[in-house]
Formats: sequence, C-alpha cells, structure tokens
Amino acid sequence: MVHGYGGVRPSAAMPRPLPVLVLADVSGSMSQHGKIEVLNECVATMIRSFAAEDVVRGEINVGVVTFGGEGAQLHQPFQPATRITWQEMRASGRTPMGDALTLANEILHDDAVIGRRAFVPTLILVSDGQPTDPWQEPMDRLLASPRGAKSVRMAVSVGADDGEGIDVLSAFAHPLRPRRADEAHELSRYFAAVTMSVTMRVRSTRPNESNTPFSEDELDDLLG
Amino acid sequence: MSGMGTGSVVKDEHGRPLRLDRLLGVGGQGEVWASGSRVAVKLLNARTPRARAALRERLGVVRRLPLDGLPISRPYSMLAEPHAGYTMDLLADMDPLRALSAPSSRDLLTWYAASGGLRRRLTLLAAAADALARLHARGIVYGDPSPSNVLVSADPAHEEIWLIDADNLGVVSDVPEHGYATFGYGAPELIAGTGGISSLSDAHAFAVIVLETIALVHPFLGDAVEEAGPEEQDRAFSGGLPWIDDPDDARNRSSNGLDREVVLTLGLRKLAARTFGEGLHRPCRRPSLGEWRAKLRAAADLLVPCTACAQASYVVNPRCSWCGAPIAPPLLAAVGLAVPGALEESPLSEALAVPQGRWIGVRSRNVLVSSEDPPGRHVAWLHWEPGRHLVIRNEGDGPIWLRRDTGGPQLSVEPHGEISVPAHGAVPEWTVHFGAPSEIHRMLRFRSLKGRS
Repeated sequence: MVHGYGGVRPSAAMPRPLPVLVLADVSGSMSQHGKIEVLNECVATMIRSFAAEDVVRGEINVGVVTFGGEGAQLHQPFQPATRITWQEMRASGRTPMGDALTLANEILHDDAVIGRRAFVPTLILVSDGQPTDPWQEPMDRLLASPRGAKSVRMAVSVGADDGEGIDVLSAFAHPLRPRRADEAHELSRYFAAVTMSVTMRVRSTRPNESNTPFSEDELDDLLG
Repeated sequence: MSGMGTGSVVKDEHGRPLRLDRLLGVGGQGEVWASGSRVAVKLLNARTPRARAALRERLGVVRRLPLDGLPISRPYSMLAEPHAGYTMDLLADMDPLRALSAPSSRDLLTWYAASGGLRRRLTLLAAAADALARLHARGIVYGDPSPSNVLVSADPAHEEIWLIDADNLGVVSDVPEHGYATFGYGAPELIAGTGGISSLSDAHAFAVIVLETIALVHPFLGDAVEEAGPEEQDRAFSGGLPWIDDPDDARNRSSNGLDREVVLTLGLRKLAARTFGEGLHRPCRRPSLGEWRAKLRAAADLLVPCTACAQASYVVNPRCSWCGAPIAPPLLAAVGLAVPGALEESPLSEALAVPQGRWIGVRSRNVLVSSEDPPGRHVAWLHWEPGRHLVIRNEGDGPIWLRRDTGGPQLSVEPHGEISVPAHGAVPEWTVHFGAPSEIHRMLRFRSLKGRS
C-alpha cells in the first residue's frame, strides 16, 4: 500500500518497561514437599497475568535469576511478559544467594537490559533456607546501588526456620517485612498479592512512585 | 489500590453483588470497572474510613447538582465495606475513548482507519466538548477528564459519548482540596497543588485528550522525554517542559504520532498552541470547551471522503491525506445568515465541504438558527454532480427553499420532499435557505475553493 501520508510510517512511543526480577531459590531443599513445583506454577501464573494486563504507558518485563547448585543463573532473561514462554526451574544443590544478589545487581545496572527509560524495578526474593555463600557484601552493594536502592523489594520465605535465612530476607525487603509461606498454597497467595501490586502500579498513572504501591497494611489485606 | 481482578465480586450498600467484568479505566483515585452492561463500579484506592466518609459527602453533593439532559452517569449507590467506591449507570456497548487514543497496533495508519479514522474522532471529541461546555455553562466543573472517563459508542456507526466517574464533579474551587487529576491530564496548577479544579483545568485535560486521540501523541511527551528516565516524564506532565510543537522552544519536539498539519485544522492547532503555550501556566489564556466544540465541529464539517480508501481528509488537500489518491475538487457550502430586509450579506461564519457525487448530511447545528433538535440531527441531505445537478432532500420539520442567483422563482422543498435543480457551471448558482423567508434564517451558498492546489 502506497501511503499518501508523506511516504512516512508514523510511529507511536514505545511503552516504558516496568521490570520485575524474581530471585528464586532452586536449592536441593526446594525439591521437597513439592515446593519447586508450586513456585514454578506461581511464577508462570504471574507472567500470564502480566501478559494479560492492558497498560497505557508501560509494559511489564520479567526476568528470573535462580540460585542453586554451585551458583546463580539467569534462568529467564528480561522480556516483555507477553513474549515469555516459561521454562520450568529445577531444584538441586546449595543456596548461593550471595551470588544471586551479585548477578541481580549486574543485571539491574546493565543499560542494555534495563534501559534508562525503565520505571523503578520490582525485586522478589524467594528462598527456603540460609545462604551457603557470603551474602552480606553483595546485599550491601545491591541496596546501595542506584537502581537497587530505589527498587521495590519483596521477600518470602518458603517453609524455612527462623534462622539466618529470615535475617537475609529482612535485610532485602526492608522497609517491608519479609513474608512467610509455610504451606504451598500460601506461596500462591503471596504471588497473587505480588502480581496485584505490580499490576496496580502499571495501571496507575504514576508507576514510578514506588513508595505507595504496597504498604504493610495493604499487603496484609491482600494476603488475608 | 483496589486489589481486585477481573471476575472479583464486590457488594454495594444494598447488598447487591457486582461482578467486575471489564476494567474500563484508571483515574486519579482508583479504577472503574464495568459490571454487566448497565452498571459501572468505581473502586477507590484509599479505603480508610476517612476516604469513605469524604466520598459519601462528595456523592451527596453530586446528587444535588443539576445534571439533567447531560450525558453524565450519576452515582447510584456506595459500595459496602471493606471496599470504598460507588456504582453508577452505564450505557451498553461503550468503550473508553482510550480505545481511540492508545494504539493497539504498531501499524498506526491501518489501526487509525479501522477505529473510525479522523471523522469519527472529531465527531466524538466534539460531542465530549459539548457535554463539558454545557456542564461549565451550569457552573459545574468535571474535575478529571481523561481518555478513561469519556466513554464512546463501541459501534463505529454510532457517535454517542458518556462521561463517567462523576464523583469529582464540583463547583469551581480555588483551593486545591479537590486536587485529584489523572497524571498526564491534570493541569500544572493541579499537579503542583497551587490551584483547584476549574473549567480551565478541564480545558487543559481536554486539550491533551484531543491531541492524543487525533494526532496519537501526548503534547508533552517529546522525543527527549521518551528517551529519558521516568522522572523526565513526571517533569513533562507537571508543566516543566515546553510542549512538542512550541514555536519558540524546540527542546521537546516529537517524531511520534501523526503530523499535526495533516490531522488538525489551523483552528484546532491554534487552540492547542494557546492551551499548551501561553495557557500552560496562565489558565485564563486557555481556550474554553465551547471554543473546542466549535473548532472540532468546524473541522468535521470540512472533511472530504476519499473514493479509494474511504478515509477523510480536510477539504484543502487535493489528494487523500492517507492513501494519496487524487480527490475530485469539492465545493464549499458557506453558511450565511439571511436577515429579512437587509441588503448586506452576512460574512461567512461556517462552511461545509461538499464532495462530488456523494450525499452529505446537513445538520441542525449547521443551518438552524434555533431549534429543539439535537445539534447532530440531519435536517437535509445534499448531492452535487458538477455540470449536472444539485439535489436537496428535506429531512427536517421546517421549510427549505432555493433561489437561483440569476433570478427566477423560489423553489420550495417540503419536509420529506426532494428537489433536483440543474448545476451547469463549476459552482451551482443556487442559494439554499433553511427557514421561512420572513424570519431570520441561515442559508448555504456554494463556492469553489481558492488556494486548493
């Protein structure tokens, strides 16, 4: 078709990405009590919900970092939710969470992955145990980094004891409290709440305001 | 945040369950969902007892406002706790205007045409401007116009509009207590909290909607803003940057959207320049909704359809703005006022484009001096075949009569009647009168288009 329209194809502004990065524990213990299966289902459901969201000026992008075995891996590179075909995560090995925090920090600050146009990112940390590698230093670095400091961070512990694991999650999620999901269905509910909080942010006309979307009361409300 | 998803059920204060079927839009304070085809539900973000009490008070005010005859959905009932919000009437088969302003395809031209093109957009926006102007005429301010709050007929053959989200309706307020405005549409004084809602803050929001719907670009989202971080978008929405077509400041030019010279008439471009230029920080410089209504209607009247692609272009273009096909030279039917006994002709105030070999509708607002008819009602149809005939069909209730400029008897067309007169020259030498000769009435005179090259 020849356009009389000056021969130019007009363009619309590209939507701004709203990044959601999941840091998922895939250590050996996650293979017990069906935890990894539930987590897979939760993340897949979340991505489907994001893909179905009709957003005016934004586009939800999802990335997943897994930590297990001997280190952290980029299991799902950042992609618009609409284009992701979810690959199941498998659980085995140790809990190298420090490694995952380091990788997350690298990804967050790679301008080729998260451009400067992006809205404030959301980080979700899921773990069922204590880190098996040094985590304090990578955590400090992430939280002090430009995008890490601004990010909305949430954490959930999956059937873990109150040990060092909870301390790590607390440090990560501050000022929010980390949540506990003792049973599999609680993890689903938690992810539903997280999904809703991200959805509400992109639906809002001020998605970059990261201070309001997810107060403790509202989280309690959603999880209630 | 509402925390609700599609399919969730909320109850109103009378215990009526309402399923949230379709998210219609998001405003400054919450979300609006369709529940079935006749009810909409507004869910407020804030769910505190204080927010609920404030809403109850606002709805009490809105119920007392004189809204009869305006296409505004009235709040019906409050929602039961734990939710905060209210229900309102909805017309069936309406979509948010956003469906016409937010492209759902990268192929903008095809999508634009499929969603009704220029003509439907101008017509719907003129109807929205009319609703807001009539509201303002009653001393009421809408408060939060956005593409989510203006609903339009889902069927492209219909041109109804309906305003929802009426809880922000109010009287003009100097204090920013009513500071709710959808970000991106709220006037700078609302965003900054230095001013309250007014007919002029409505005018700013409406002008943004016009640009987005017709030219598919936000007036403050230039390339520099789009490429920068989200903080720059916040700055642009707050009035901290020049608008994309500022004649003196090129910092915020946009390469997105449709060419404003193609899709907006000079009149509409001037209104945009006044709103986003001098009026950005000086609200009293902004054009009123009445001015927008007049220029939007005038623009719609000056469209000519393309025989090749069916899209409409403004009458001054010798070729279709969309597909490039040549357009047979149309006429202008200039609207004049006929004053009995007066010798002078009134100057041209409005005009209709008359394409070759096509029926065009003449609406009551074009040719009736005063009428109980809706302004969009067709009172006549007109068909011009150059060198052959001019046909007038009377669809209205009043008399229409024709007079040949070279003299001869008057020819009358009764209601439901039709007349065909010869049109030998390039321009039909007939004047068409709408109304009794003894009364002030309007008439159409035909002219060729000068400067059409």
